[in-house]
Order: sequence, then C-alpha cells, then structure tokens
Amino acid sequence: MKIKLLSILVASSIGAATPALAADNAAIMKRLDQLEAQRQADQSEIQSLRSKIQQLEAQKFAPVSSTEAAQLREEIVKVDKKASQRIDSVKKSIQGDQDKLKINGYMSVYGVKSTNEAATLGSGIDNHIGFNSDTIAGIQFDYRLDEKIDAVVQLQAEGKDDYSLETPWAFLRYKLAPSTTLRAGRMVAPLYLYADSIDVGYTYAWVRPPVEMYNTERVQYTGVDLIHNFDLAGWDSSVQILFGDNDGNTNGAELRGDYTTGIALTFNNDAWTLRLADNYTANLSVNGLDNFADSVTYLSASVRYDNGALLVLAEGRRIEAGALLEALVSDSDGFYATIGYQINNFMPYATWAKAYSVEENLLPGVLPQTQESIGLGVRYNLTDKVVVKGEATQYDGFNGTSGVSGFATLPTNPVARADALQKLDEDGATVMSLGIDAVF
Amino acid sequence: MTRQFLNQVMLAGAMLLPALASAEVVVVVHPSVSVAGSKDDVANLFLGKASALGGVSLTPIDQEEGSDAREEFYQKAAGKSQAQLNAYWSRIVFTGKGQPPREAGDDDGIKESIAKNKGLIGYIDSDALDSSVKKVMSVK
Repeated sequence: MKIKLLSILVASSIGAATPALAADNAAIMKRLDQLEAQRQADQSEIQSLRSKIQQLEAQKFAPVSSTEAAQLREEIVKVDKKASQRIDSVKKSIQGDQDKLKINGYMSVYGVKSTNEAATLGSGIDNHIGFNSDTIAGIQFDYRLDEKIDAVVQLQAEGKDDYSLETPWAFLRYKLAPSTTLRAGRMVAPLYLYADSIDVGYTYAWVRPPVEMYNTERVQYTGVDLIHNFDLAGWDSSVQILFGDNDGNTNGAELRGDYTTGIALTFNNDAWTLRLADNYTANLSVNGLDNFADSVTYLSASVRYDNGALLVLAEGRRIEAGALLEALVSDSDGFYATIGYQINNFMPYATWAKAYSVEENLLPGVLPQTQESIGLGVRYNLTDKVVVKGEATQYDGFNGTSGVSGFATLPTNPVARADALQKLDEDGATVMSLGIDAVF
Repeated sequence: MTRQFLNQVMLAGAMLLPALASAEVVVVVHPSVSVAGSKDDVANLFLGKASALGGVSLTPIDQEEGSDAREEFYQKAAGKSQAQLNAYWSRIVFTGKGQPPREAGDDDGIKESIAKNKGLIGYIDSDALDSSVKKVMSVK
C-alpha cells in the first residue's frame, strides 16, 4: 500500500515534471503490481506453512485414550507380578536342591499338680503346680552328607533333669538298599510303640504315655541298628534289630549293662498297626556293682486302630528280671487301653492302665508292687503344629506299696514314710496336667 | 417335555463342569521318564514308605505348605490332612528314621525342579500342565 502511494507520488511528481517520462511510469506501475502480487502469494504461503506447523505440533502431543492407557497399565502390572513370582519360585527350587541341613525341633510345656500331699509322683509331680515335670525342649539337626548317608544329632533339655543338655540321638544313617537302613551311634531303644519318641508329646495323644506301661526314662544305647521294610500279604511291615552298649538307667537305680540287643516287628495296614518287640540287656551292674544280675528282658505287644476319627490303642509289656535280680525285683506286667474320638479340632480320650509285680521268687515280707489308673483328657489342635492338652488321671490300687517302677517317691523318715504309704493306699492320687506340645 | 428337561439337565451339567475341572491335581515327572503305578504306590512314595514307583527310583518333592495342590494331593492320594501328616512325619523325624520330601515352591517351582533333575516326581494343578513335564496320573 505504502509502495503504491509512494510510487504514485513519485510518478505524479515525475509526470508533472517531464512528459517524456510518462511512458516509463506505466512500466514501473506494472512492475510494482507484479511485486505486490508476489508479496500476496508469499504471505498466503507463510500462512499455510504456519497452520501446517501448528497441526504437526498438535499431533505430537496427542494423548492416548484413557481406556488404552488403563489397559496398558494393567498389562505392565500383570507381567511384573508374574516375573517376580517366577523369580521367587525358581529361587526356592534352587534353594531346595542346596539344602543339606534340616533343622527340626519340639517343645512341651505343662503345668502339673497332684492331690497327694505326702509323695512325689513320677518325674517330680507333687502337691503344688509345677512346670518342670513335663517341660521338654529338643532340637534336631539332619545333615545330608551324600545321597545315601545322613548325620543326625538331637539335643534335648528336660525340666525334670534341671534342663541339663542331653543327646538322646547322635548317629549316622546309611541307606544300604531301597528298603534297608543301617544306623550307627547313640540311639533310644524302641521298647514299646512310643518308647523312642517318648519325649515328643506331639507324637501321641496323651499328655504323657501311661506310666504303668512306660517307665518315664528313655533307655539309651550306643551301637548299631538295622531297619528293613517289606510287604507281608499287603501289610507294610518292618523289622528292626539293634545291638549296642547299654547306657540306660531306671528310676531309683543306676542300671548299666554290658550289652543290649533287641528286635521289633511292626505291621501296618491303613488304620491298623500291630507291633511286637523283645529287648534284652545282659550282664547288668546296678548302682556300680558289677555283674550284679545277668539280664533284664522287655517284651511287648501293641495294637492300634486309627482311622483319623476313632483311635483305639492297647499295649502290654512284661519286664523279666534275670536269675540274680529275680530275688529282689519281681517280673512285672503292665498294660493299658486308650480310646479317643476326633471331633473337628478336639479329641477327647480315656485311658485305663494297670501294672503289677508277678509274685514269684520274692523275698519274704516284700509286697508285690501294684498300681492302677483311669485317666480322662482332651487334645485340641490349635494349629497344625501346636496342640493343647488337658488331662486328669486318678492313680489307685497301690495296696500299701509305692507303685510300679518307683512311681511314688516317699519321704525317708520312717514315720512319714509309713504315713505316706497309708495315704497313697487309702486315697490314691489324682494328677492334673494342662499344657501344649509343639513341633517345628 | 422330555426334550426340554434333557436340555435343562445338560445345561446344568455343563455349568458344573468348569468347577470340577479346576480342582484336579496331577502327578508329574520329567518327559523322558517312563513310569506307571497306582495311586497307593504314589502315596507310599510321598509318605517315605517306598523309594521307587514301578521299579523306577524317584525322589518326591512337595509344594510349599498351605498350597491348595498340596492339600488336595494328600487328601485324595493318602487320605490325610496336614495335621495328620505333621503327626506322621514328626514320629519319623524325631526317631531318626527319615525326613519328609523337600519343598520346591509352587506349580512353577515343581516344573523347574523336574526340568533340572530327572529323578524327581511331584504334583501340580492340572491347569499348569505343559510340555515341560509328563503326567503320570490324575489324583482323584
């Protein structure tokens, strides 16, 4: 516009000045028009380029639709989760292959009280609530040395022994054949069905196995044993043979033997278990006196029916004293029967037990030791590794004696002792226990 | 009338099928292993009463405690709950007679372990079955 005005001004000034320049004015005007047209064209091109740039910029920042974004996010989370799960799982399987050491343990804690004021019963049960008689803690290490050999050590501390550290099991286990295992070291003699697991309350229904059958002490030996599994007419069977140095002791006397040997046969078929065992300890010394007696034999028979709901269990044993011991210690028989029923997490049970000396070859004036008991209890599954048990057992039939296997420990004072024996005879004793058993 | 009834029954049946299918547990081994046995034989293997299945020496592996497949497997194959299994194994462990099968994680963990070691036998949910393992049997 300005140029046009200027050009008109210039043209008119020049036209006014010289008529000869009029023809050149037309040419300049034409040229100016051309320039103007070009300028217009350039402007419109600039405009279109500008709008194109704007378009491109807008496209660059275009957002993904919200549903697409949500889907993508979900996918990422899923893949991430799956990846971390797989990593964990693979880690665990590698771990499993490398685990050569397995640590297991057990623990029992019980509060126990008896109604008898004069005598101490069993492993230190008296007229006051005590926690030592049945409190036990144990830990076991299983180390896989190689495909066929394991080393096992079990350490244990019992309240009744002032929590002194003991080693009931310390042996090497060798897999001779697919169904045959050889063990060598320190072990517990499997006299009866639960004799070798007597310290692990979790392995049986009662607070403690009936004392009329089970002496409260383990019988230890250091030697070898062989376990062979076989099939007998559809019954899963096993035979266990042992031989070793006897380290056992029994209530009241320290009994050590030159050697101990035994055999146990077990037959299993679904709910049924049958067991027969014979253990023999020879060349005993009692309380340090060597060659005091020639032997003690433990014979037992056991029957168990357990279908998960109903439990019926009965065992019997005979302890036979060898020739020399016979004069002082009579053969003794003991047996019990237990029935229990599992209702959800509770199992109430009842036990009847009896033990007595077989009255042969006794010194004159010595009464045959006897006792009898009836017990009621309940076991509750708190978790699948912890059980709570409550039990009350009435002991009777002492007949003026202190029971079997030194069950009742009497005061030494003769007057107090006679008094205690009388009380035991007249009233018997009720033992009440409440506590828990756990394994890990 | 009958046709309509039959249709309804079939429909109801078809609706039940998915629910039944997902609860199945299968016993698996490495694809190169050839083995056969009964449900009792498998149970004996996992309970430590046998160390071979149909003459083939195999080592059982368990899924981790609490896994659905594990509970299902032991309930169907051995008729035992986890609490009963704990009681069973406790007696064996603490009298020094053996140890329960080693744990190897979940369905994926079992498959990984078997892929690495042909001598293992395990159980997984039937949904997790793929070409990395061979099915020995379904546990019903």
